[in-house]
Amino acid sequence: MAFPILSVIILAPLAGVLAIAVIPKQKLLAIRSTAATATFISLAGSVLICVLYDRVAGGMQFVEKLPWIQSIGISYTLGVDGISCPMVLLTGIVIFTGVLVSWSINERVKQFFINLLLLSVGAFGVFCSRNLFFFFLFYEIAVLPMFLLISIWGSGDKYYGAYKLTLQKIGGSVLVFIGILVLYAVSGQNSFEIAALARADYLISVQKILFVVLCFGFGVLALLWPLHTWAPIGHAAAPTAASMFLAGVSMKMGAYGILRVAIEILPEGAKAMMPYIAVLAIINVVYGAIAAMAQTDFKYIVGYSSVSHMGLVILGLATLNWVGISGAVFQMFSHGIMTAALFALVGLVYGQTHTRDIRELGGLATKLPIIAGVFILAGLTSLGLPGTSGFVAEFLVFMGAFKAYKVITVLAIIGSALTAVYVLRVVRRVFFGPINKKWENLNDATAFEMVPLVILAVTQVFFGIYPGALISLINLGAKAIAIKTGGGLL
Amino acid sequence: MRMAALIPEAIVFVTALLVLLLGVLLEEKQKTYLSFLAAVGIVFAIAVEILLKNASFPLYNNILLIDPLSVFFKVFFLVVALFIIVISYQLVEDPDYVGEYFALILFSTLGMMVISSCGELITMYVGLGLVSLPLYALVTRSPVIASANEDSYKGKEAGIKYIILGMLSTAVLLYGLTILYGLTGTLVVEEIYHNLTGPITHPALILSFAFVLMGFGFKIGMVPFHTWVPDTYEGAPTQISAFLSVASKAAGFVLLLRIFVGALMGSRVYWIPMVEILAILTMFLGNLAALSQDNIKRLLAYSSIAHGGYALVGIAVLSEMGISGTLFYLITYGCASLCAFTVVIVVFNAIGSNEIKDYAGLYKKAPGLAIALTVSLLSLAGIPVFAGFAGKFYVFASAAYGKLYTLLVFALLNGAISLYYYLRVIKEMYTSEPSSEEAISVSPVFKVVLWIESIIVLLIGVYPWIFIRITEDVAKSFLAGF
Repeated sequence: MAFPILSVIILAPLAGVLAIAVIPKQKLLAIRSTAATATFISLAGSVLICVLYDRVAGGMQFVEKLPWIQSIGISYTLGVDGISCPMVLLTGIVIFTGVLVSWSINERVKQFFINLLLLSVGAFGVFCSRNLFFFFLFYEIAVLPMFLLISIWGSGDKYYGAYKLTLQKIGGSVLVFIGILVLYAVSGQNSFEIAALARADYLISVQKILFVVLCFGFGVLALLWPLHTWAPIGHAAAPTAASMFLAGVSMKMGAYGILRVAIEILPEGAKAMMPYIAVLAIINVVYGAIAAMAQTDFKYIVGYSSVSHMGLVILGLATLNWVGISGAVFQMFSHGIMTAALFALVGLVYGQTHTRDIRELGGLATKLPIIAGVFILAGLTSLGLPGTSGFVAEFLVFMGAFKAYKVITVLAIIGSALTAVYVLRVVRRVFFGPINKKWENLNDATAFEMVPLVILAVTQVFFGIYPGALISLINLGAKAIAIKTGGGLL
Repeated sequence: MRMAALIPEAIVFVTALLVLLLGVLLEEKQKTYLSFLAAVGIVFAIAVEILLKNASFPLYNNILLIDPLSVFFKVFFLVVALFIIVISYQLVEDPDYVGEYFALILFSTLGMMVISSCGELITMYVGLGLVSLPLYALVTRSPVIASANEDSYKGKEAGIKYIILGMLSTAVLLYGLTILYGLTGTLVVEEIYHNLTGPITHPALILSFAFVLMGFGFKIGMVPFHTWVPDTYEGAPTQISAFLSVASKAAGFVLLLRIFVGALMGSRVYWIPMVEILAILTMFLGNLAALSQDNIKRLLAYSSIAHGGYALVGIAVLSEMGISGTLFYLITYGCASLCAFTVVIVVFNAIGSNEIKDYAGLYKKAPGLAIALTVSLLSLAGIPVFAGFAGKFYVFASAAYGKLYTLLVFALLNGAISLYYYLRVIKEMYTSEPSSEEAISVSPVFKVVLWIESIIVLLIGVYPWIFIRITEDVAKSFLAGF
């Protein structure tokens, strides 16, 4: 049997949790470095699978399979294709930088890192699972850790944010759960394997209904309008690392679910219903952008920008063609990195100023040149400037979308142009202009704090200049799905 | 040699008598060994029962049935009784009551073992009496010396309520059984089944369905026969609440399978919709009422009503997977519920309160207790990777496979509702500040019990096949009889 690299990626953070559990809670350095080591192992593993993935052969690779509950076709099946690989890499980067960013947390350190690592177990598991039982198990695993992260280490109206996020997510999970069980029942395969379910024949009416159920179920995490309302409030209440993870990875779990479960298993349903979903996606793009323009809280702005950007992801998926899906997946990766960087930076600023109101901030660039620099870079990625990964992603999405929905695409392009308005507004308000006297004593990012920032910044630029490194992977997976949906090359 | 199959019952019976006798004869100090004696007796009974796992034959002209279903439930009841006896080891302060307490638990367990095997109505009725009468005494009689004990009043109230409603439901059940006997002319369940294969037209038969279901519904805590549950759980000693919520509820399910399904399988199209509706109502009532509870025992009581509803889903499906789902669900629910009640006992012993607000900051005072309660509550809420998730996944998958989509949707909706009140307790434990910094010490026995219970909950959640394999065989052999 080959080396079970996917299991190592998933279980390394879990091993980290167990190790941290036995370390006495006074030994802060030991706890932090254990967390960093565990997530670094996962990160190294995810880089490795992206490099080692055989681009000629394609398909599912690094497959592991263990029987689990034989009588109803549940097995522990892992495998990654061209779409999962970038998602695993994204999770690796975000969780590793999240641990580094949280280095300065002093309150209940041990519990904090245990919860943070548990989040990543769930995400890695979702992106690697090829069996719906385990897919759903990993999808749900993060419920309590996220609830605790927000309600213990959060700020502002944290209990409300924690409950809203948790209950809304569970509401979505109920739909997903129904969808999965009904798929199992009507497929006649007596199996929860995604591959087996995708082979089965479903009536077109069943496909349509189940597709909508699954799409709205996953749509809660993917921020599909009007199910997005947890995001701004949840982000504002969450501690930095949790925000990074929520926006960087959790939302992608939703979009990945739509792609992997809803579209891959029910391509006919997708073809019939996706035009309607595309309309919701366009509302996402425009509404998110307009709402972001009106906000004054730093985190709310980034939160609503996520609503807007996830709209582009869903629009890309809705095209059902090769280029559009590639663009959506690339946008998931690019947005994950970019938004993680933004939240990390907001956290750094907030840690010193203790306000996130952009009207009170101003002129920080003179005091915080590095933070300002990285923020501007992430902002440019956000608005899709050529040379950053955001440009490649949006370009592909619009290219695919124009083929499928002309009017909607034009609206989406206008909507995403609004991104420039609110990004530049924040940059001007916070980093330029006259400096408030209160902020004379701020310190820029320390050498240690720069490590995660540099990782995130370099990733954005690297994949902006050389997108081929990921596109070659994503294309393989997107093509396989586009063939099923009949969306074709373009 | 077939009578050897009754050795476990004999062991429990002899142990119970011995405990009762020694409870009178022994010196006060030596009475602490009685719980040990009771536990040893049960362990032996479990060991013999497990040897019987492949046995399948009737005894005394179908009056008792020894089959995988009976063995499964007997082991289940014995294991639960073992846990209850262990966590009761220092409960009883009143020296006159020590022997009686453990003997009553053993007698009630013996009754449960009898109804697990019963294949005939009179035996079932006698067995049910043996289950219930000791429970009435256990609920009513406070094991703590009554000096200035406010709870003894609540205990009496709980006991009276339980006795009156219990008697009433038994009377109704008896009425239903009488009609059934009158229509079929036999008391043996298998013969009733063979006599009732045609279409159902007789109104008296429908009446008897309803009465029998009512009688068993009382044990399960099924709506609308649930009203005793919260008051009784709250007023009874917590150990007995745990016994009621796990063993007594499972006893209701074994009766449903043995008598109700066993006799009326032929006319299932008529009563399945009834069970479906009652399951939905039970879930909704349990979960909605639990939302506003401030007392953890009442919260667990309402949640246990709701869980009865989930377990009924499998009965409504009535396929091999459905029955297996119900059995497996009872296991997952039982483990989590026992674990939760054990924590409640330890916390009550330390701080003397069952109010949820007094659980504030429990994590700071006793991290182990907080984690054990979190594990059990998450399991009850059906969050992975705990047992409850596997249980819900399996039983709901059976509902989907049986095309009971309405039931599926309502059951899942309820799962989401229930998360809210479980999270409330968890939030108190982790985020609120404790009223006193005083650490809670946990005695070694409780520590070991809590470790075992939490690990089992986790283990079943991670690898459910260890039990699903068994419940599937049991369900297969049970349905092969029709």
